[in-house]
Amino acid sequence: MDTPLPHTLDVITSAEAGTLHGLFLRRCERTPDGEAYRQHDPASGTWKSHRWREMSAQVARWHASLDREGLAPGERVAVLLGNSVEWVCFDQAAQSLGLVVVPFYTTDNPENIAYILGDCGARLLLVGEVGQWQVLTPLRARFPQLSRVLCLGRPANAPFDHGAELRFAADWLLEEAAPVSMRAADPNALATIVYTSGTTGRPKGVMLSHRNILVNAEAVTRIVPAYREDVFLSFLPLSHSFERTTGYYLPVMAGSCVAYARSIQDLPEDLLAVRPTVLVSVPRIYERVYARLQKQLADKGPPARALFKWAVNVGWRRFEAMQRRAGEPGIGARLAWPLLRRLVADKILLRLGGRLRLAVSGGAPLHPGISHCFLALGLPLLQGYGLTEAAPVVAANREQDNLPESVGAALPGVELKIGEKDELLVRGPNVMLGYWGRPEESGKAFDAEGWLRTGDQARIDDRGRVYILGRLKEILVMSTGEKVAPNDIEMAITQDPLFEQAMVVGEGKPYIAALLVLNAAAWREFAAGLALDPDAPASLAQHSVHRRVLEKLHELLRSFPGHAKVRAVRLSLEPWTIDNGLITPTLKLKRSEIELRFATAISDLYAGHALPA
Amino acid sequence: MADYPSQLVKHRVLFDGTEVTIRPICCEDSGMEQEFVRHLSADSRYYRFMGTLLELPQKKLQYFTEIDYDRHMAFVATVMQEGKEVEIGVARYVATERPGACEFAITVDDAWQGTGVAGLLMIALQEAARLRGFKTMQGMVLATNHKMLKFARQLGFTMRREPGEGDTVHVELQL
Repeated sequence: MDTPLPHTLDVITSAEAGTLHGLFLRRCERTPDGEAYRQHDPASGTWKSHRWREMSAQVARWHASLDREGLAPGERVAVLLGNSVEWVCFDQAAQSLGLVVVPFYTTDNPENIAYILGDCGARLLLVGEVGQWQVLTPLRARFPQLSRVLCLGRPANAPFDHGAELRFAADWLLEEAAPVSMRAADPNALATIVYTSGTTGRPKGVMLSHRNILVNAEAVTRIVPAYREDVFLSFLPLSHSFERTTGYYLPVMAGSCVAYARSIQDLPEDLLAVRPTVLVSVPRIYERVYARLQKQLADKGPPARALFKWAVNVGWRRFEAMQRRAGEPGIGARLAWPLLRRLVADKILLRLGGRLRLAVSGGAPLHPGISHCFLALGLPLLQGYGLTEAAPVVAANREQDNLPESVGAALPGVELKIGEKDELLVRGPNVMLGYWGRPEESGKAFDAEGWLRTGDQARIDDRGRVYILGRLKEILVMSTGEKVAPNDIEMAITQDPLFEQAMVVGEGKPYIAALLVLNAAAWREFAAGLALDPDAPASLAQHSVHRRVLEKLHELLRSFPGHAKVRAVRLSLEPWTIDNGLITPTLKLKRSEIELRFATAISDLYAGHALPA
Repeated sequence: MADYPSQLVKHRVLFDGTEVTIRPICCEDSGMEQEFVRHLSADSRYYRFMGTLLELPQKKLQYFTEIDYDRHMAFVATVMQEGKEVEIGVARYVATERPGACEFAITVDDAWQGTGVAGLLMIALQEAARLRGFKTMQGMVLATNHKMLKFARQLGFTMRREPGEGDTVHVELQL
């Protein structure tokens, strides 16, 4: 392990910043030679650094080029691009012109993107590749206000006939531009609209002001300090408000560097190349690291497993003692720890780059077994809680008061209380302005005294720590932090005559899977179409059948957000009935019983994604 | 087919003064029952069936309307709208395998929730179950269905959650 990096605290407050662009300009003035971003350059195969000084010049070019589009402050511009320096440049240029940025998930489907473009009346869209625009063109009538499409990458072969509205960034960007000067702007003005999938129906646009985001980032720095020497590894999409606030604006505020990971697949390698000191993530990533660890242990044999178990046991006792929740471990454990650390813990932490001083998890509940494991190995893993409507962080654990079962206490400046039906209510300067174009739903989001309803049920202990108990609406929260309403999905699936009964699962899982009962007659036809024997039990398990069914589901769920895609199915011809005990006598689906009866089948649907027991 | 228990037909008044008929369901009600289910909001349908149904398939519709008024009993609440009888709520019990026990379910049209009609249906249903010798009435409610849980608590049902069944609450009443 290296000697620890120095810790230079240099936070620009939200009051000093004023706006998101003010924050960026202040940072460029304050530490022009500091490293701002690091991005992989596929051409040279190396990581390229961008200093604040260079970022300032880049943003000036984007600003001047965007200015020529003649958009008025308050108009919406959308971005459909992976995390990158260009994302930052576009966002900052737009913010400097008072435009409202609407981010998209690159994995989202065309239907949903078209809907959002139309809903917010976006005037301009930035895409990464021509193909992303190409799939939107058949839906062009749904977003008539769009007048310009910018494409970052230029295709090698001749592009399709794209008309005059598409420009390639390389041609569009001005070569030279004067530095952008600070303009007076209202901190309470709308800065961004972040779309979230509600429990039912179409996604809603959460309106966040500059102040909403800035005060939230600042409050987080006050309980979990970030330093100029910190390096964040960013891989959670910037379209997610958690990454946007804590993985983008917060590092600007603290003068830290952000490195953009190439992809989730490359993450193990990028961790070693970048050696981050801070990770901001959703449970999914910690689950992946944990799963890899379990697999390696399984391959190694009993002695290695016993050693690992011992290290976690001793490490956990040390952690509890450090948290002052338990006495010092015994002499044996104290003597064994240095050796266990060298043999086990350090080796595992080395795979995360070996310099990690902080890992943050939010967006969905993190399995306590996973927190225990990492905390015991000496990785400070902090769980927090938030929602897009609160820009987004509401509560978080502190390093000195870290309880994996809790999501921690309220951030400074954020008020919490428990309302009717144990609902957690939030009030504070980070709470959204409302939902875009939906006054009625905006009104419903708040109670009479202006508290934001979270829809989550919670308990608050005498030290102010929040424990999430459940939720008020019937929704599944995946381990990626994304939410889906099983009701809507099941309804869409059973529209198709092939699917007689459907139940989707995915709570705490990385993706959605479905248990499907097929209609006997429709199945005969379907099987015949694939030249399969409908009466042979093996036919249901055929790869070709599953592929076709998944395609069908994909089609049925076309208008749903990308994360609501069903990735695995279990097919059966045996209906759920009163006789087999899967429906009650009054015809209620016994969801828990179905989950129990098909537990093995369900765990097969998530093979390779096991969680601790 | 069992004789229609016409002695159980009652006329009542809701909180807002609307006249409502509480009566056992019959096979001629299948069209009205189907309309009722179709008219429910997606949330209400989900709470009722804990799964997705846009409408009742023929077999289920038959199961719901052609009953023996003994092991399976159902009351509908209806109002007259433009000269037509319209179903605004339904409550039923069906005997379970456990001797002396029956399972109940109740649904009220979204627009009629909070009018007192659910209480009227449950009084009729419990009375009928008691007279037919049932000792316990039980039910399954989604944990997020707070209106129903509150209602069941007011009626004196006890609540129980089974380990590993996070989403459902078992409610039970000694008749």
